[in-house]
Amino acid sequence: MKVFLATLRRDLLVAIRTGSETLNPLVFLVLVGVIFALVLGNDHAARELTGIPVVWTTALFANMLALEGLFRREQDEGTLATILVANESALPATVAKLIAHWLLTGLPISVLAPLIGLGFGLSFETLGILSGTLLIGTPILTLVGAIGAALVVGLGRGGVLLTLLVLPLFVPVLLLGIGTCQQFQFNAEYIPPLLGLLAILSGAITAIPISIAPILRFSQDQ
Amino acid sequence: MSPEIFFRGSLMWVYCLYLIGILGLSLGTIWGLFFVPPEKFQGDSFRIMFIHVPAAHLSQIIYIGIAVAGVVYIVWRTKMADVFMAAAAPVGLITTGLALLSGIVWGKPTWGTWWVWDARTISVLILFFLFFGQIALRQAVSRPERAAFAVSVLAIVGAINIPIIKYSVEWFTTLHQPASITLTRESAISMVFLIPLLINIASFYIYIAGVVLAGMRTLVLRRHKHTSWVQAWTGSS
Repeated sequence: MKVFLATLRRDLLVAIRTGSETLNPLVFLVLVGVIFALVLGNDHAARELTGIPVVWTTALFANMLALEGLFRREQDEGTLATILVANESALPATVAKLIAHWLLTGLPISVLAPLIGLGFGLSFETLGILSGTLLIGTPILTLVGAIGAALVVGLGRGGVLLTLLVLPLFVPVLLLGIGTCQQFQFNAEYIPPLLGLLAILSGAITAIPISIAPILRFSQDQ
Repeated sequence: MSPEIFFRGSLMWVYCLYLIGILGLSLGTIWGLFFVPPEKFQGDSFRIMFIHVPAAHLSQIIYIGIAVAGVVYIVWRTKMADVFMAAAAPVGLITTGLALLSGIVWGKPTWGTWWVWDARTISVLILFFLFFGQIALRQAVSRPERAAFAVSVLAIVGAINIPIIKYSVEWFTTLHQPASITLTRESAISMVFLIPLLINIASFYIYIAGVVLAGMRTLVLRRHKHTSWVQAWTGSS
């Protein structure tokens, strides 16, 4: 527990003090959202139709941008090896890192995304659902992405490779998230895709955190 | 298994698998393309089935094989499991590409469009990118042990896509038809079409096994190029 809290506190502090690394994905999200809304012109119907897929996809890419830095700083300065040395501290430390990462990317993305949705003329109820599905979906992105980030940690050209590896795995989450919002938007049955999203989340929470430390350890000592 | 025994023992297998596979594929394809009567609703376009079904089936089987090899590698650190993964990934990429291409060509006359974004097509497209990820990750990691481990993890995580492909036609509303041939029920395809199709599927299995085995032989040779038996082998022939 001590390790958990210390790592969490440290990661949040580092993020607040360095700033730009955390803010960049969010600025990216707003910028891409705005550009999409801009190029669609004054066609109201088209905007309302494309709003949810565009915002969800942009949120996914913003999350992806942040993933690469999940373990990079610790790898570069060598603290990652220290964290992983002791068996008891490896799990709480990696879980803390995952939670800190979500608090710094997934959460702000989920809060910001509805604001961009406003620009697409979506209704308030739809924006609520959009935010809700992002709150369920972004932890999955962080968890699944963490596997990819752990695999490519320490490789020089990790960025594009990481995108290549995890993007196919993100597709079900993206489709279910967009599906839920759109079913709601058009007054159709939106519970089944929502349950699918929750099922993936519970599966990911169960299986992934315990497997990150062994993967990182292997990437370390080879 | 020691690489040397594998290398010496597998040559005959490669020849046999290639021979039977190519003969079987020629038999099934010629039978299917020229001697089977046209189908009642689709006319002649259904003949793409004789390529499409084996390719689509084998792509999934190859991925399952890679995922199983990934588990074997992580648990027992078997080197041959890694060799298998390295040899099978490009083959899987090609069979998946073939399945997608033949599906596109078949879609135009029967569905009226080249491509539909539904569960089956998307999940097979994801399979294509998973194979690509396998190859890309292996090339990016320079140390062989780390590459093998990383590729294994990726294969296991990606295996979640296989049941999605399998059941995508039953869980979701899609244009793609459900499976016509199953082990438990009587086939929904008439015998006239079924026999050449089964010949082609079986021969495709055999042929692909030969291709993967040949690829594994090359990799074994390359990875052990500094051992005496490889140098003796390459020097003597």
